[in-house]
Amino acid sequence: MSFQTEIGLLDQVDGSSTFEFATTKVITSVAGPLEITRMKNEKPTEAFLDISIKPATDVSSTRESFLVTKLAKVLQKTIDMDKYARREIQIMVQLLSPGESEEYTVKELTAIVNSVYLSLLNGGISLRTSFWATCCVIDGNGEILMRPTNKQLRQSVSHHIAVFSIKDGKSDALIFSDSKGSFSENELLKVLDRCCDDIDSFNSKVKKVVLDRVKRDYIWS
Amino acid sequence: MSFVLPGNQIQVKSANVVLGPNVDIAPGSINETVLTPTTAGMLKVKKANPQSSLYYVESNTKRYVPQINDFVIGVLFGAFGEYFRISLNSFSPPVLLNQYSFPNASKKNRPRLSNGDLVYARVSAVERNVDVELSCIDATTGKEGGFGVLSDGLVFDVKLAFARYLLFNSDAEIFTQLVKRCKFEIAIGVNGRIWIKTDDIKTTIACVNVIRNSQNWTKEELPAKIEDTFKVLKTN
Repeated sequence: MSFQTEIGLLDQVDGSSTFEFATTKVITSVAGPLEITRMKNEKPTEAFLDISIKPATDVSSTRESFLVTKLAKVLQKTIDMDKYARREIQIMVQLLSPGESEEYTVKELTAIVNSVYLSLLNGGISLRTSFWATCCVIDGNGEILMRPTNKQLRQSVSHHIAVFSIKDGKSDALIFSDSKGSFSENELLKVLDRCCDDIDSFNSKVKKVVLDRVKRDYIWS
Repeated sequence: MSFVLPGNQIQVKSANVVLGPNVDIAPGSINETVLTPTTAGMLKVKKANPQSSLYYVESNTKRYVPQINDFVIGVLFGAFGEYFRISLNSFSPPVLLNQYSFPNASKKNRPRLSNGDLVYARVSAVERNVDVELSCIDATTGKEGGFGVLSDGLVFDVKLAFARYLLFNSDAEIFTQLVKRCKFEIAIGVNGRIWIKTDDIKTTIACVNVIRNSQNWTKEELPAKIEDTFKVLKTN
């Protein structure tokens, strides 16, 4: 199973991308560094991240605010925040197809993190490191299933998301992990191991799609 | 030249390194110099001076962030005290241009500019937490140096990477082709703005179309496409 992405499709923002895997699809855009839009948000030593997530149907609710706080945790560690003191970076996320029932957020968050990463690269926002997210479930037999379908997700005992930083094309440090359900410590460690391998298997494709985009920017040379 | 992503480790042999755009020192490397790119792009290494080499990552972005000694084209949109307020990029903080930063300017002889005027200037000061300042005086000679108000002509936007390429490569294929066909005056700002002036409007529009569209043409198809654009001009 793989993913589809289109980078730099929006004209009016600095960076944008769509990201689709399994049946989950999102579109994200990044604008920045901007002048701060509301004075109370100004931070004297670092950037202010203005993240908004719009669901595929209906208006944003607490569920989306919850996703915002999780995404902010990832981005605060990966964006070079000190470089953009007193500036604002706007990140817009629009879900196109959630690919999971309302009580789950794991697949959406995975797609959002990956799409925002591609948008940040496209927008030229300074990053401390590359990162990539993946998700998995543990089913009733204790089997780990990577990037589950909606059905697998509903039948699972626990589900997990992990975001790893990438150093020299290899997953390096754990940036963020979130789990729900019942599982043992051993299972969690196993899950993180599997996520790590899964992210490694994506690296060459990620590199290729970004390189294609960069080449398209320099077609004249 | 190679393709790099953030997190890639660039080993540097000598300690004398000049950090260019989009390159930073990798965290946790104190004893040895390891660099890391901050965005995706092509890593380039150049000799900055005999002792040290310059590392930078060439990458196209849409938003211009002022750097010292950049040549830029700005639009004047206000004045206060002895400063003009200049916009280099939509939705980015304005930059300042001192009224005395023009050659031969004095209290009695001030440049008369109005809103909407175009200025070709050099970024003279970039300080953290302070507004960026421009200057129309050449840094080395203290004279005019080609800067100042751009009157008439037409200004248009191109990709930032393309503007840089044109400014630093005056022998670019596009220019050698254009000079064969018409006379023109051009100013290129690395903030992605190009100003061009020719003898008549038709030629100006043709030139603008050629330059703007050529950022999406490959080297091979360039001569034929330029020919096409100018053919339309002749028949009308």
